Amino acid sequence: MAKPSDDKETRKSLQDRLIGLGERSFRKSYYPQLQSRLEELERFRRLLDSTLDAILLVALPSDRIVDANAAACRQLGYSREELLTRSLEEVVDLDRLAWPREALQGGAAKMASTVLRCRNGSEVPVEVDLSMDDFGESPYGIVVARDISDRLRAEASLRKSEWEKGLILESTEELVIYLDTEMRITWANRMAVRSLPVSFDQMVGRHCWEAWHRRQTPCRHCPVIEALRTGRPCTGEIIADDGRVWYVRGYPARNEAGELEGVVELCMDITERKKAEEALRESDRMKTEFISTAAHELRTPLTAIQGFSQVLLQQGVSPEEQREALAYIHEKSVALGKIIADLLDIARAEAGRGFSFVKTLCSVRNLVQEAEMFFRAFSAGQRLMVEVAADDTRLRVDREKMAEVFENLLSNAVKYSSSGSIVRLFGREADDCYEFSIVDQGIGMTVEQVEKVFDKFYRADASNTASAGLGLGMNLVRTIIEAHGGSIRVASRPAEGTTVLFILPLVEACR
Amino acid sequence: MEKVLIVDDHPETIRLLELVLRADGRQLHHAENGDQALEVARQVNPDVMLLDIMMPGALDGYQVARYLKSDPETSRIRIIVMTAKTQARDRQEAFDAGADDYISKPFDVVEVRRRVEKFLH
Repeated sequence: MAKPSDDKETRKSLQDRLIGLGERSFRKSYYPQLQSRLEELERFRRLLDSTLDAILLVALPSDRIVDANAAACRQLGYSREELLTRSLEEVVDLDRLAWPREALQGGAAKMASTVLRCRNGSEVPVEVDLSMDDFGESPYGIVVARDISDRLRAEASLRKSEWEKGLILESTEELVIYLDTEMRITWANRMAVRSLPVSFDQMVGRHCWEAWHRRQTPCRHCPVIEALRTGRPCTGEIIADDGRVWYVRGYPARNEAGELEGVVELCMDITERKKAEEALRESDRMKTEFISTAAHELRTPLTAIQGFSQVLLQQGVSPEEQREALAYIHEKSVALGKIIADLLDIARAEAGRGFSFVKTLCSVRNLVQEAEMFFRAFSAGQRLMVEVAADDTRLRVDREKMAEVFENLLSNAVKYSSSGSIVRLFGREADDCYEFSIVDQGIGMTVEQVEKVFDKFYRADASNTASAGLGLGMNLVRTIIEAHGGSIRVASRPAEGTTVLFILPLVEACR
Repeated sequence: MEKVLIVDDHPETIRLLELVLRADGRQLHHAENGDQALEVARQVNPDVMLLDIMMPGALDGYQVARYLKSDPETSRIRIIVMTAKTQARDRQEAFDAGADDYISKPFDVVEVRRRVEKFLH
């Protein structure tokens, strides 16, 4: 790089050339003008060398560099002398420009971006201003190059963060909307735009409530308005006109000076979640009721067992009364066992594990006879009429479980019919099954009740009866029938009675 | 003559309480549902009534208690409510219906006798 003293030397030699050798020149009268001219040149030189932009002066059409400022030398890594031996194309990538022959008609400055080729092989991205001028008779090109690598880096960084922000905002399921301090929409993410009846362009500038709810008034208790008002984040639930429930959050947006500039609104549709919560609450409620009812059912036989055993331990009970007491204790212990077994069956069915089945060949006649015995013991004045065809048909069933089925169905018939009414038990062969039906003339059920009759814990009769059970009976019955490969259905009319029909598959070999 | 009325839809409970409460100079009556309970109570006019809550039919024990207590003819009958439901609100509902005492099932037979006899003297 040229040293200041060199410049002085060059100036001096120029001076010498112009005015002759030494002070003894016959052109002495021009000396002061030349001196000030030289000083002017020197000033311009310093000016050019002080700028950060690289400036090259290029002779046209040869493209030879005839001058370069200090910045050009610095950026390119060449001394001025070295640059003066090079053509422009060696230090500037001209392919990226429409260099200057095409671009510079008319002499106006043109801007383009390209790279500088430095001595060490590196490239510096620059923005170049190109212009042309005539110094004397020859045209010169003037190239001013500005290092834009910092700017490019900043732009890339901004693009990346914009892209990341966009990615995050667009990938979320939430609606994200940016509103100004007047609650007018400035920006919305894709989910928000999708949820609106209008396009984004129609949304911008509108009030939030205009765009979403087509109203002229804001929503009451809007957490976003609240956030704007208080300057603090607010959350709330809003029920839209269509019944959907939204979880809405407002976050006040402040600029660097801490002033409120707007508010960010986040909305999430929680309708499904609310429904699930409600279903869970309902399920919990049913479970609590079930447990309470179960406890009651268990305590009832326990009252007899505990009471009679305590009586037996005391004096003053006759032998007959002792027998009676023991009989009750035994009976109620068995009943207790059955309730517990039912509960366990339900629990096992719930857990997906199978029942414990012991299937044997039973004749229809045997099953019906057991059912009749049960009916006689538990009927409350109703009569049982049995019409069973082909009662020598054999079925492969768990005898105990089938007894439970009949007991459940018959006790329902008894429970819901009046004394003196008739309960019918039908049986017949049909295709490759055996079909049983139990028909009563009782209070019947509504369509709604029929729909729910097989639901666990469902009791059509809301009153609390002694033999009420846990509401598990029909559910258990269906599970048993289906586990045998059969099916069951219920038909009923209020005040007319109920029919329960179930089928069991026949055993081929044993017709 | 002491008179006790036992109301429960389970026959074995009635039998049990008869064995527990029988005594010389005491008459034991029973009923198996709400309607019967009202009928017998009005007829017999017992001193003490043991009343089950969960019974079939239109009237449950609470309603029976309310009816009896609101009728001047029967309001002096002491009512001891019996039930297998033992939550706090069940006790509250019993007392709100006018019950004089509350005993939970399963019960201690000595305790039952004591409570009944308390009201007889």
